[in-house]
Amino acid sequence: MSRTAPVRGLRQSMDWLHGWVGIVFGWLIFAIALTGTASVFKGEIGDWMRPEVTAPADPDAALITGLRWLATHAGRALAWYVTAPDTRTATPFAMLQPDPAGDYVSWALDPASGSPHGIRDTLGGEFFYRFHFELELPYPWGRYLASLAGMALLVAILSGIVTHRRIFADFFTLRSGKGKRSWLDAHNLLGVLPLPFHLMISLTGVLMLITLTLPWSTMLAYRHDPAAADAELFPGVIVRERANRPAPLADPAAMVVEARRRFGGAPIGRITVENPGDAAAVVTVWQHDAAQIAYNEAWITFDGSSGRTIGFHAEQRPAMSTYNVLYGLHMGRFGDTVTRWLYFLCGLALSATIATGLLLWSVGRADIRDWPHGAVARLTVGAIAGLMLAAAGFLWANRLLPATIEARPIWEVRAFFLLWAAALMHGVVRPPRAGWREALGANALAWGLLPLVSALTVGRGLLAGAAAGDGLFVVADLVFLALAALSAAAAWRMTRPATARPARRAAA
Amino acid sequence: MSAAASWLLAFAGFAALSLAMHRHARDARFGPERIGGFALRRTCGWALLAASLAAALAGPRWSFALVAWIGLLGAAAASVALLLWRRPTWLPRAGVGAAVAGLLLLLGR
Repeated sequence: MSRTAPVRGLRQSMDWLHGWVGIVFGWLIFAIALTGTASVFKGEIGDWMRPEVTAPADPDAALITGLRWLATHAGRALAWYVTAPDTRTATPFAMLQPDPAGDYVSWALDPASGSPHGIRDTLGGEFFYRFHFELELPYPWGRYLASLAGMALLVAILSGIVTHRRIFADFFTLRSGKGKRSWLDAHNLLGVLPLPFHLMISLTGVLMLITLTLPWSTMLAYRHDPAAADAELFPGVIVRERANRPAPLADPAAMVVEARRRFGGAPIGRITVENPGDAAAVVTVWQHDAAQIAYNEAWITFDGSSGRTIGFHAEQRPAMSTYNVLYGLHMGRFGDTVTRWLYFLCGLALSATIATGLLLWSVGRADIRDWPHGAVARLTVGAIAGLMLAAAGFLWANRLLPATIEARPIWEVRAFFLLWAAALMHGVVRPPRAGWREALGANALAWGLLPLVSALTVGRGLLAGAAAGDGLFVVADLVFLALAALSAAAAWRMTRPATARPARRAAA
Repeated sequence: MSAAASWLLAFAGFAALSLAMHRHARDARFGPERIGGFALRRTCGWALLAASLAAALAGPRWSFALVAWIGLLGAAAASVALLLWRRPTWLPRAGVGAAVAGLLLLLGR
């Protein structure tokens, strides 16, 4: 291995590792980080994508109305999984198979009527959230790949810390107009200042999928009986066979009131109903994750036909509590508005750290003109600017696709992937600098015109919203315009001649 | 608003810590006569960061506040870095202003 130095120091090894992990996993980690960042506002994105819902919802009332509607209209389903609306999401969601032989659907239920009719069919923010850890791949492969990317991110962060010689000396340093040095400053600053967040989010992300990546201890302890493991994980959750005797569901309002009492007033997060309409129906009500940092803090189970309480659990087990807190930290559902925005900003910083790292790899080697370096430089354009453009296209499709079109949510997702594929191809075909300029320019147009397109198609937006106190639509438009301005500024910089001189290979 | 006080104090703390470094003191046009203040600025910086933590934890739910504070620290340090990048000469006054405003908010609770 040694060319000149007889012994490779730890720092050189870590530098080598940091570079290779970054170049192999960088594009994937960027996509996961950016969609995860968008997922911080999953509920808000969903509300923006369903502009028909305007009524502010009382969470409990909307939940009860939704359950009553499902009882009359979706009685054949084997189970309903209903997510409650909250202070940041206007509608309850129901996941179910309306026809037991058919596909799963996800309905947003109108908070006033409980019905999904009249609301445009869309995945909303759920698309970014699912992509974040499933990558649109079949189960369990997407989760495996996302978990691998999370481990790679952890390796990249730790090796980056070892490699970075001047964490404290360069803590505030950002020098402009120095080519590679400036990119390195930005990369270091974005990586170091939110470092606690970066470490927390990558570690907890890997831990969330740990039962998938390290299943053997569970297999050994429970002798390949996953039901027994589930029963111990979730005591008080009752699993019953279908009785095949029809029985109406007891009044959900009474169950909601009882659950709120047992939760000490904390709000309800979701309700699952197994075997609805059957004598063996079971209703489980889960406490909302905003009430504490930990995830899945408490739940209560009712007999579906009588409404009697048959199980209750509030988490007291130290190991579970620790895991749930780590899980909850990653989800960030406990956060108030300030904490949410900090999660969002830290997530953007993480995405930008990866993007600048990928750029450094090609900028720092601008003098090397072999095909691998060219290929990396070109693919990076589509992987970064192309993904942002695809996200804008997803939102455009939500506004422009007719409401009656068959499989509407699938077409929105197709718009996302078609645009991303086109941007990747564009990046490969064009020289990197021109590619960046054009892709960033397209981003500026796509995000900049989105408020206009939205205002013309649905009539809610910055101007109408500012007058009517429609906070969500005002902030959404401001975020879109900020993204447009950033893209335009970056595209404009790319029109100026390159200042990057081929620097000697400096240790990061 | 404990988040605002916490951010202001963290910003002031990081401003003081950065101005206790030769490179940034030079960027902020500090003359040689102010080099002697490095130790004082460093002490003030750490004290202000501690005050920022106190402001964050003063609220009813310390566990939520602690998570938010770690994020606020990053945001405050990034604000100092951005100011040093674009307008380094503004930093001393911005830091003092933030310290005063943050302490007033903290004590006026």
